[in-house]
Amino acid sequence: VAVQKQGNVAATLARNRLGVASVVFFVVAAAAPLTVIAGAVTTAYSVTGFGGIPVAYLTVTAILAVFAAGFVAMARHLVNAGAFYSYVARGLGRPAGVAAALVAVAAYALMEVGLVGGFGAVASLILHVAAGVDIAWPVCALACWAVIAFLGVLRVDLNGRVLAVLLLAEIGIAVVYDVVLLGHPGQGRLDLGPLWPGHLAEPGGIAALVGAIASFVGFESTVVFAEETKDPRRTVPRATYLAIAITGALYATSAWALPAATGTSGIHAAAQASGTELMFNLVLPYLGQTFVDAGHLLFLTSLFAAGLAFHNIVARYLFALGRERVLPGRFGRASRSGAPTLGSLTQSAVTLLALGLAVVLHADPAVQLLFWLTVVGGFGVLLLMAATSAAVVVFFHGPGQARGETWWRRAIAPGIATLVLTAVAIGTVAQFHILLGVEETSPLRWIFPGAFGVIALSGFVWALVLRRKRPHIYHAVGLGANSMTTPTWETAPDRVRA
Amino acid sequence: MVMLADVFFQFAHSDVTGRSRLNSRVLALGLAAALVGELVSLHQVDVGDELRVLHGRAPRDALAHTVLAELMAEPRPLPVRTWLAYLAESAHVRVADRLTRGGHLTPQRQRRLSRAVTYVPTDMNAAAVPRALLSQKLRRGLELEYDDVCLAGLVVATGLDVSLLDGADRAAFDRLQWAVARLWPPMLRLVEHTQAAVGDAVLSHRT
Repeated sequence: VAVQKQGNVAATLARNRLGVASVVFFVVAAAAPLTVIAGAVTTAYSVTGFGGIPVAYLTVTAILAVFAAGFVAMARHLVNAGAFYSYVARGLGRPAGVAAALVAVAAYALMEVGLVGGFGAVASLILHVAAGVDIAWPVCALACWAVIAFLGVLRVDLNGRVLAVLLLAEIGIAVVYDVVLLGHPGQGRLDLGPLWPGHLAEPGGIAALVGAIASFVGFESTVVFAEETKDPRRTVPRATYLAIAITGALYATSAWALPAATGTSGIHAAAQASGTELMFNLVLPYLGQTFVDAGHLLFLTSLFAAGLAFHNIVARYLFALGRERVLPGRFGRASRSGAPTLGSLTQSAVTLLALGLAVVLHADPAVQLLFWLTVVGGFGVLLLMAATSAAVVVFFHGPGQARGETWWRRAIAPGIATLVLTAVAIGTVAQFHILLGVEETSPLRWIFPGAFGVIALSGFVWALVLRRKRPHIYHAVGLGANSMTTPTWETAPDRVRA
Repeated sequence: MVMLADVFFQFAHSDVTGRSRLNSRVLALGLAAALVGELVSLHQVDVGDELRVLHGRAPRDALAHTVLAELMAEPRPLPVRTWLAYLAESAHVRVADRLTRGGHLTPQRQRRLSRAVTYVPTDMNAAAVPRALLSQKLRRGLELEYDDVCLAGLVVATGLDVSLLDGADRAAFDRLQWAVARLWPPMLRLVEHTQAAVGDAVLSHRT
């Protein structure tokens, strides 16, 4: 009888729970495969001139798999934390947590700006190529911005089935393109050269890893859904590994298919000539216009979906910080539709400003927005992942702290991840000019990474200020919505009964 | 006897049209918390990290009785958040039914051929009373009863305080926070868990 009774609450709650497939869908849809393949990969070839992009993707897939082992292990023990900064706050202390939170907000915000600008560039180009219509990129970007701003505030649910169909179509068309390109190698035979790990030692090798990491951003949101999954202990890890494996295989193959078609030596010039049209131009002779049009359309929906996903991530971070009162409490309020209104509006305003700035500075949207900003955002996420891995090691360190996790998950994997990710971060700073494709003397190579340093430092200092002035807020750092279960009420003068 | 969930229901819906003032998920969590709150106020359930039944005597109200029976049917105490999630699934219909039985609401079909039902207050004035009363008490700094503060706690947890105190000065908000912070501890913990659940509902929303 007891078993049957226990099933009552559990069974009712299990009805709406998510399985592995659903979580993978949400996560991979945010990572937006076609954005990466047609946008990030081609631009990486043209900007960096680095030949080993495919092996960079394979390497990052492996690094992330190791990182994920510790990440999901910690997710099992922090109830509905779901964001990098809460792990950092728990493992490395609250000042580091606030620093991580601000770095995360900046990194994801840059990603959105880059993707919206990229949408403008790609839409403008596609309209020109496909319809012969000339519309300036800022107009297209503004349209994309407006729709995201609108959806962000109203929180209109995009139908899950629509997203799933779009995602499957994206993956499907990428696979078709890959098969065609690999089946018609430019030099008459397939060159395995781009897969050679030795490339990573070349100039730009480490920088290419960051570009690849930027492409995976979004996979970490698996843990956000932990509370809604059928079995958080199993569903989340499986979904995380599956998402990393699927996207990794797809990205590496596609990154390899391009130089296979153009010839390894010709890829840099071809990418510079065609930009984000490279892949479509290469498959056109074999597949015809219909397949290219479909690819164009999916490329746009993919850019849009990714932009929206990052917009919502930023709004969610700002909401969580508002709930904790690290940011003003108004950020922690939701609208009637359940949207984190102020966070969403703030992010929209920032994106609009950044786009305006790009127009004023005559920036090239495909290179300086889509590529630079997403890669710089990826660098920020790299810093977060390094800090998170270190936090995992500390969290499980010490007698009685193992919490039933294996040695591999709580110490070795996160330890390796910390070292490797830190090394990549340091190597990237040294090679930032190659990553951006600018002169070695350009101040930009220091401005971008330096900005994260300033942001992290200000978060750190703000946390110390809170510790002094508002200790009750300080103590709730990293708890997100659960900060409410420790009293964070501000006490008012004793006049309620006056 | 005034039932917390009834008052909160009226509070969270327009007294004229019966339209909800809250997101459906947040409303459901608030009503679930109100149903638990009724049992807490009867000293029959204690709130820690888990809900624990202190006393199994049958409450007079049929709905409170059913909820208590459900709590008692579980072999082990479950976390507050689990109960809120579970009760949220049915809370709206159950509380609306209770108010309908009591003659306070009239179910109306929104459109022909539509199964969606809106519950319209039978007496607009009566439905507007709890909201107006709490609003005035807070604005004027009048003394709050225990029942008022329980309601105020759920109002804060679900974010209804902004519209409740629309245009009021800072002192009214301070009074609200002050009063809720001094709520009877089990009730306060229930309010805090509700507020956390409401925040998580926003955070884990899928897009």
